[in-house]
Amino acid sequence: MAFLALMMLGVKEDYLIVQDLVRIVCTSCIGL
Amino acid sequence: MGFIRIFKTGFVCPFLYCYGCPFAAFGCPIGIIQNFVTYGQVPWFAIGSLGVYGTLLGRAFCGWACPFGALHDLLSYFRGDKSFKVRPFWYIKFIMLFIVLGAAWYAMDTVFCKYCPAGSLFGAIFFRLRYPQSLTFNLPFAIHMFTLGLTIVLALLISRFWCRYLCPMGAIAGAFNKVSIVNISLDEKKCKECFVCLETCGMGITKLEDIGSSTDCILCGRCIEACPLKALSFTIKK
Repeated sequence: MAFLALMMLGVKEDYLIVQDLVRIVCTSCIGL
Repeated sequence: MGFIRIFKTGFVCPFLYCYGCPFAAFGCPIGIIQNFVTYGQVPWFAIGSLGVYGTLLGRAFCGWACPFGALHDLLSYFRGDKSFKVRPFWYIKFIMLFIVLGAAWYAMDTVFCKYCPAGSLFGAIFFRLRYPQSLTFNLPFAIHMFTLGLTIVLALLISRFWCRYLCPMGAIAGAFNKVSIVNISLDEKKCKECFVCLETCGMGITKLEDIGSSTDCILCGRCIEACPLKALSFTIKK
């Protein structure tokens, strides 16, 4: 339950940050 | 799924992966945590997500869902039963996790991603296959190919080498094995200590009491299949 609460605490802002990270490819991370 | 932009979600997946892959639909937990470290933010969502995954299923995602683990299982078919017997050093992956986070904090960059063999395979290679115009052979790509090649060679010699010793995600998920709701339990009344379960274990677990509870156990269930007396079974804690 504590982890679920942590997840819900961060979901509002972090979800969008993570989505941006998934959408924008880090070229240096994949050796481009 | 991530080949369509709307499927590129902000969820954190429970295994090592690379969101540099053109088809990625979820974030790699290690990549996400590194990024948040560089931003100077606490990754509450990632910590909460990994906590929920771990509390429910422990390290089962490593055994059932991880694509890099699947590569190791595929390589084990080529190796057959000739895996080198090496001692389990469960703490190395925790040292690796500490180094990964420390390097991200020190360099303010996702340092591990530049060397990650899973990123080499799912990010560097798949991206080049999807976008052939980006087909370049430079030093960062050479480093990626070296780490991937080295991991494959070691996986051919030692069963699930990366998962056993170096996977930082395995360290996080493995820490939940003792408290996870889904687990493997041993019926001591049925067990005759033939140790067939330990001989078939791809993660090199050496003690009966470590099955299901060790940070190395990926709950793959090979031991359950191998046990001639059916002394091992998946259990759900209430």
